[in-house]
Amino acid sequence: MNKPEQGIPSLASHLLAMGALWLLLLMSAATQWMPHSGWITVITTSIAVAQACIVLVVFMRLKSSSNLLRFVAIFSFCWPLLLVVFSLGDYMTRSPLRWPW
Amino acid sequence: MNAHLAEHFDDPPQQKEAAMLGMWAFIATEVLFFGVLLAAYIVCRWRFPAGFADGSRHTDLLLGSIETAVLLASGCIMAVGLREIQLAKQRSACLAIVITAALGVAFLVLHGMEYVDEYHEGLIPTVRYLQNGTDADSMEVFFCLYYVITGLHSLHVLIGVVLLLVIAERTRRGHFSPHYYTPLEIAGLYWSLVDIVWIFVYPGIYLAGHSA
Repeated sequence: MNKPEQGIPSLASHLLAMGALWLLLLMSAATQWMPHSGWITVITTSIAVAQACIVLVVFMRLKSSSNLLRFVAIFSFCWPLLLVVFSLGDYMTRSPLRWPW
Repeated sequence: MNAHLAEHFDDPPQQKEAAMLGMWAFIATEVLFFGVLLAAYIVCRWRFPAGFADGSRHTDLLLGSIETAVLLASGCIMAVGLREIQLAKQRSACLAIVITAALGVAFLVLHGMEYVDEYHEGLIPTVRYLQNGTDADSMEVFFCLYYVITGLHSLHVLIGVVLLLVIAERTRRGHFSPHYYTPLEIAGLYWSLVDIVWIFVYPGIYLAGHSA
């Protein structure tokens, strides 16, 4: 059972969030006209993180959730980050192995 | 006694908190599930940069961008649907949920069109792979991961569409009100998860090799 009229976000906040998400999508797609470099990956990944934060805060309502739910949400997205960081750390520091033949 | 309150809970807020915590625990497992696939993608892209850039250039950037826009809009409309039920507007909430499901179907159709194009281009490993050249083998690794990641994501979208249609029917029948809407909120969380996964898939798959 939910308490009515408590913590209902405004329609404007939803529409604003959608506008921001579409704008970020356009910015992400616009990187195809940039000269090819490693920075493009950094830019598009940063845009994706910003988009995910908007969805988490506005659409998934983490802003008005309890601290326990925020804790679980933050940690659920931190585990894959650790996985990627440690995996890449291994690959980036490993000496290339020669083929045995 | 409240009809929606299970006997092992003290009061409705405790029941809602438990339901939300359970859903977030499920989301954590799903994030790990897709996180492993994305980690595999990142490691393989590090290992075969040229093949992955070539593979990305074979994907349809315009269609991928439209799919992303459709999915982002659907997430917003689902959140509006939740807001409408909180304001006791059952009909508009039901409509919002049906529109969300329809956008989910549109996403699946668009992605199906991509798969058909890729079949004709001979880009499906082990089924129809007709690429030649120095990076053809590493591009095959890209397309293996592409089909596993996007295929599993599409399966999640399909499950979400079915779930939303069930929730829409229950909303139409008046099962939810400003006093009880937890299943609708949980369905919304699931749909947002599907959104977030795609938000990270899009730059990895479609933007990796399209720059000038």
